[in-house]
Amino acid sequence: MNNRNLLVKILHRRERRRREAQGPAFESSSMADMAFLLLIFFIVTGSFVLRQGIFFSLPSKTAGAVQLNERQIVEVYPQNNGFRYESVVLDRDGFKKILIARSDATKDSVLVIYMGKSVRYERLVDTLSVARESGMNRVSLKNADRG
Amino acid sequence: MRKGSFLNKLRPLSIGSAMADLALLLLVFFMASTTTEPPKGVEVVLPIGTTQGAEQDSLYLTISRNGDIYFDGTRVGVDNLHDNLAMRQGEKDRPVAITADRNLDYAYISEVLGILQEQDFLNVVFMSEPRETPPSGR
Repeated sequence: MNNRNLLVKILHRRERRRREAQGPAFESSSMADMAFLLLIFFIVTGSFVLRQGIFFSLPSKTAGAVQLNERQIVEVYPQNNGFRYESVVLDRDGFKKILIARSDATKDSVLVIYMGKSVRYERLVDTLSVARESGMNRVSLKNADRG
Repeated sequence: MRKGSFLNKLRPLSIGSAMADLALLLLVFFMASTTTEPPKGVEVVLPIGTTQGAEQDSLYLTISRNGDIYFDGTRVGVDNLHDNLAMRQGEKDRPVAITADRNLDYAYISEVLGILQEQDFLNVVFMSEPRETPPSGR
């Protein structure tokens, strides 16, 4: 019995000494696992595709009226089948040529887009795109039905 | 190798911590550089246009083919849109990204633009697909 107690005492002491010799330890492999797991999640769910769009600034409610020369104003009525300019329905290229010519002839030209309520939204985006491609930076948007 | 040489004194290195560092570094990079899908609420077919990169920090307004409005992924009515925008007056400088179906009538867009203007949200982005072939001319 005494021998057994002595043996247990020795084993306990040995274990205590072993623990003391090791000191505090930090297990980093689990952290690596977690980091890689999160990394794979972000690689799978993330997207590098940038969202694209056409920027447009609305006038403020308190904005005053702007006086323009008649020569500066270019009016267009987008239709579902083209661009109505001076009572003629033009295709995209024809309208773009006119905008470039007007933009070159008169600096600070303003494109006034009269959108009808039943005209498709893609026609507005296309008109804004043509304006941008032809270097016409000042654009005004109006409701054709309201005048 | 003779006993007591310099090479004998070197201890084998554990690369676990270095691996964790590397993984965390890559993780931070991906978290910072990736974008998440914006809250759309409904799938729409975007129009095609001459676009530029839109800012990530936008308010998202989606209008479906039949005129349903979704604000930040939640369906709202026209009156609710007024209220929602009124509650977010502190975010007026953020652009509002309008994601609308290409075949939608302009009447719906006009109504929404009117509300945005009324609530002083003046920066608008018409979300669109980039035109594939670069336009000729200018």
